[in-house]
Amino acid sequence: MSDLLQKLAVAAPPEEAEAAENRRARAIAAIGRTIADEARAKRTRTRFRVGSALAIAAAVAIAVGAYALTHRTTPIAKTPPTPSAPIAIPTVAPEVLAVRVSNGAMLHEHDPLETSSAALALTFPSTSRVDMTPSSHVMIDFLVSEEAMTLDRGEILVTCTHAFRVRTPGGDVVAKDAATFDVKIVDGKPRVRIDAGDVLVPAIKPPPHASAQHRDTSTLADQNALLQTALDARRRNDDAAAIASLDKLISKYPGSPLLQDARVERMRAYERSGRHAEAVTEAGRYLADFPSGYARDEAKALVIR
Amino acid sequence: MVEGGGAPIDAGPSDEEIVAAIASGDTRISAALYDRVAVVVDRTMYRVFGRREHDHDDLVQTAFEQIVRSLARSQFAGACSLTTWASTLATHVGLNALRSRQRERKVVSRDVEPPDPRGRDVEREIEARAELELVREALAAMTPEKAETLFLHDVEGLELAEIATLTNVSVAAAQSRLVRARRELEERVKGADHE
Repeated sequence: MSDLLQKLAVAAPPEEAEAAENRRARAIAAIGRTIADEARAKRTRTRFRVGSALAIAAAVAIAVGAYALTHRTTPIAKTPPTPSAPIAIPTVAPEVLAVRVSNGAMLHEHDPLETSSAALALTFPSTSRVDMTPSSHVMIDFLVSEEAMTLDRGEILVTCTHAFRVRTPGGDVVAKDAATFDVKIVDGKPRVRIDAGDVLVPAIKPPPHASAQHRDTSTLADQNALLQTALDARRRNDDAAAIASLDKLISKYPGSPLLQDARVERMRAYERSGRHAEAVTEAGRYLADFPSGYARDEAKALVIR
Repeated sequence: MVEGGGAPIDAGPSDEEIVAAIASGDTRISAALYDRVAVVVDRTMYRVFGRREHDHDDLVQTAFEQIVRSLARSQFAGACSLTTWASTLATHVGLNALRSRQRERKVVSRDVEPPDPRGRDVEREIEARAELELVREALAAMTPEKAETLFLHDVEGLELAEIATLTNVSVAAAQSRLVRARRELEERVKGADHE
């Protein structure tokens, strides 16, 4: 039986350069997007931890102050000072600030969740419940100051016991108190059905509170499109159009995850179109910025020549 | 150990540099990460499905997203090379997709590509392909833990100790999982043959 399995261990056959290039561009954009998302989530978690620690410290200070005030009548001078006992600082168990998923997983702030073909149920710390339909995508926003989540895609049924906020591309849907309502994203806008309670629904207009993540996604899509346009132009042997698109990508998004590819493509396009001096300049710049880049040998050859 | 592991000298940033850059949120490392492990991810998906499916690029992208998340969240302890880690996550993503398609009754539909009629033994080739499809069906029907252990060991060539570390179990547990998985695979394939 093991020999049968080993028949699966074949090498992937080569494929057309165009397909491989397209996959590379897409994957690199996705990698950049995910790195940025993770960094943002990490920063938020850190801020939250610091905030929580300060809040706990403040609570302890208030409690100690209140205790001191209520015991002011005691004649302090008559009692010898006693060493104070260490103050136990309460800690918050991680699961208290987590959303329990019906499949057993636990979600924390800024964790995303996507359903495939099966529905899932989420239980918040306040016991509010959210039922996600298949093919829905949400992210937990806040769990402490308020309970809030973002719904990017699909449909959810919220049964909340306290105030609850659902962020959507078309605005926030807010329950002030216990309520039951359904939010569905249709053409990027929320469609809300209220079964019980007081729920504020946003007016349908262009997304005023589009999240930073959404903006980043659009930006990356734009970067991807510019690189793709340049690659298409190159395939048509239209190097001028390729250079124009790459110029735009490089000047508009100097920190793009596709920057290296754009610089390599521009260097090649200059060389193909006979603009050798500019190709050499580009190669030198590439080597300075990406000394270990994948096209370093090609760039070095250009500079030396 | 998956071939291609580790960073050869003068081949761009090391595994540690890539991991550190991702952990610090540096998006400029994206291309280096792709170039380091793309071959392994592509090959793993190809082995899971036996061809590049219509959504091959989507699966590759999903695998990379999982790789980045695991690195950003410090789940990669450096106990193996980045390529081995990528192979493990790609196997997880690939087998999940295979399982989900099996459930949808879409994939493992025996719609294997017709063999080249100029081939010497067409009938034998059809038989061999059908047999491999049965293996894939059996993998999709197993529990994820067993299927992944079996695939990583017998297809990707990882050692038991590596699999034990990667799946967070003891070597004995990994070995037991492997033995049970092989037995189950055999039973399932034989059972399907009799049907």
